[in-house]
Amino acid sequence: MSMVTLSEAAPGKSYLIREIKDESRLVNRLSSMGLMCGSQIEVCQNNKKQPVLIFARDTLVAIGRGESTKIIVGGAEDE
Amino acid sequence: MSNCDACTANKKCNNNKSHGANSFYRRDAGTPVIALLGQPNAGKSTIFNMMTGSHQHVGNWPGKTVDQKEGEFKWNGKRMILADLPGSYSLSAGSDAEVITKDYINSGNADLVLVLADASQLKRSLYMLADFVGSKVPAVLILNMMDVANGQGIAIDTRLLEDKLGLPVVPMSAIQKKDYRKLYETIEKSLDQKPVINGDTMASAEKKIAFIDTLLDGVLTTAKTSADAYSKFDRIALSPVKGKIMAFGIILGIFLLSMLFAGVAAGIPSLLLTHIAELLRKFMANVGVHPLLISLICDVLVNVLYFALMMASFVLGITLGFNLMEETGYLARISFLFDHTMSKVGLQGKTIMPFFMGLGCTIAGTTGTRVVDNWGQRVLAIAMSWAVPCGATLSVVPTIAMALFGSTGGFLVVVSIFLFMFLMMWLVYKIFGNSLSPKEERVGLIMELPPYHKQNIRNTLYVTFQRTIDIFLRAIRVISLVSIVFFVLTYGFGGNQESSILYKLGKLIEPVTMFFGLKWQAFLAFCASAISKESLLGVLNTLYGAGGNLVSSTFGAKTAGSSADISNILAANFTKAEGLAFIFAISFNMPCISALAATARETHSVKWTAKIGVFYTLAALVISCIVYHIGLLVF
Repeated sequence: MSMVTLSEAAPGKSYLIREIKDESRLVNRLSSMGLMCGSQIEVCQNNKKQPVLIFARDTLVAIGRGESTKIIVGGAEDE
Repeated sequence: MSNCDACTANKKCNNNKSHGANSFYRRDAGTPVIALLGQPNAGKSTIFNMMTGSHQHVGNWPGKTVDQKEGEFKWNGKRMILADLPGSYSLSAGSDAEVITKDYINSGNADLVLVLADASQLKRSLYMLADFVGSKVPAVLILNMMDVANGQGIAIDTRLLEDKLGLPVVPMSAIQKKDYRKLYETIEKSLDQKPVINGDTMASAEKKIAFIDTLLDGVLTTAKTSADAYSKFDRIALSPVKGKIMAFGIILGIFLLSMLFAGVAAGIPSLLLTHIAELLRKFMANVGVHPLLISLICDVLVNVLYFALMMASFVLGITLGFNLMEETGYLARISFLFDHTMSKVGLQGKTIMPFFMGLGCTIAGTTGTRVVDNWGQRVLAIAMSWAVPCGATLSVVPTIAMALFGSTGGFLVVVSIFLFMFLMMWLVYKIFGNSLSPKEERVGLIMELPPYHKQNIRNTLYVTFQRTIDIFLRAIRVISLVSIVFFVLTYGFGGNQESSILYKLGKLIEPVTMFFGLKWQAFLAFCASAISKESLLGVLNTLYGAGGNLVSSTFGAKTAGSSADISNILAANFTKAEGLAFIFAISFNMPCISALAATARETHSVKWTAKIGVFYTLAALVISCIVYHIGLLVF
């Protein structure tokens, strides 16, 4: 599976976070949720005009559409 | 403020504001201070309230707009102080709350720190603990929401966790009273044994997360799956259309229930009050009390009490509804649903609720903005919610509109008021948005949707009552004071209202107010609406000589003239242009005095309250001026 931004990720699929586009504040905020490069996530819901809903580290997390375009994810089976 | 005598006397750190903490409760060497540390949604406030009950005090951190909560409790006859540290997701980001929390712990204010984690989502909620590693302050780990975790089939080996951490671990459910015995015993023991967490401070997020993973290896035996977190209910509750319908249904339900509750809760005492006031009036007249005093007591104070009661019961209902939503975890869903819309004006999705509640009472809307955790955004939300016409305005505006423009025209006027409301909100956003919620500081949503959980109703009711009583007392203080001033201005000392100070003043400045389309009577009513918006019709009724005196009509809103009378009066005395200007002026004027008091309370800032107040007053006058002059051309 190729790399996509989180905003384009398919619901029901698992991904690994590959890159968080250079914005240290975003990296900080994500990491306090336990999310960083290499983290495994599962996309639960991804509708237009709504934040993306993911499940990661025991938690349901909503990520705004703007931020989700800055997060690059790739398929879990790539590794 | 009570218990504040020793405000600057910080326990181990005198006269140093940067470590800043007020001491609300008396401190001495023998009284241990226990600090509560945890991420939002981990149940921190529940534990704080359950432990301290009514022995708590809320202020704000010196020089900061962050709430500081402190309380005291007794165990085995020993008094202890519990400090609730402002919650956030970590100690390493730079927000006010995080800096305060970090400083508080590092400067040795606390003898023991209770670190709180959510057992149902351990992997994430232990991040705060990972941040705390390296601190030499004795600590205890509380695993809250064990009931939710058990329900999801999560198994945690707390013994092993204790060994790995070097700290006592207390698994509990914060809403269960019986679970607290173990907590108190652990606190007592730990104050004695001073357990310190194993490990050194970690610099990077990677290390902290790795630390959590190593820690939980072998401890967490059954992990949670996405099906546990993303339930069938959430599939509907978070869907774009059905979810929004459901949210509106729930918000509307709370709104209507609160209205109903306010009607009953304030209706009964108001009946009594009216009778008591009448009896009192007769009695005092017989005894020969000065009419000024009689009027002051029977017209002003009795009705002030009524307004405050009405407002407080509505606020009580709304606050209870909000608290229930917040504690069950549903509030976060609302934030999710409306994020896309509200983020356009720099606000969080959940701000939609206070806006909605503003339709009932501006104070309820203002108080409701507590759900917004960022100070600037909270003030912005309050400022915007002022534009929402409150229940009282909505009860007055249609009457005036119908009287002047007939039923179709009147309806259109009411619709235009609502359309204008959005314009006003946008204007507020344009003017204050950038300083209160700076674009460069604005961040998109990254939010946990907590698992749904039960709550302790007694605790929720308790918190709700406490907050409402606080607002009630504040409102009644301010409104009484302003009312007495207004009373003096409107009281006809010479025997009739033409001799009142306000009448003379109104006449004098009529040439000016007429520029805004307001005759002196209308301008007076505009001023009187600061006391309560309900009083508008009564004041007009009196001013146009339908009887009664100005004082009674300003304060006795509920005894205002019948709508048939008032319709005739309005139709006879207002031209259409004047009427329209008046309607716009009262709809977008600043809210009543009680709402101003509530705003000052919620924002911790008299300066901002004044700024927004001045803005609205000016805006209302400018709008009425424009409407009037356009009206002159049209009608």
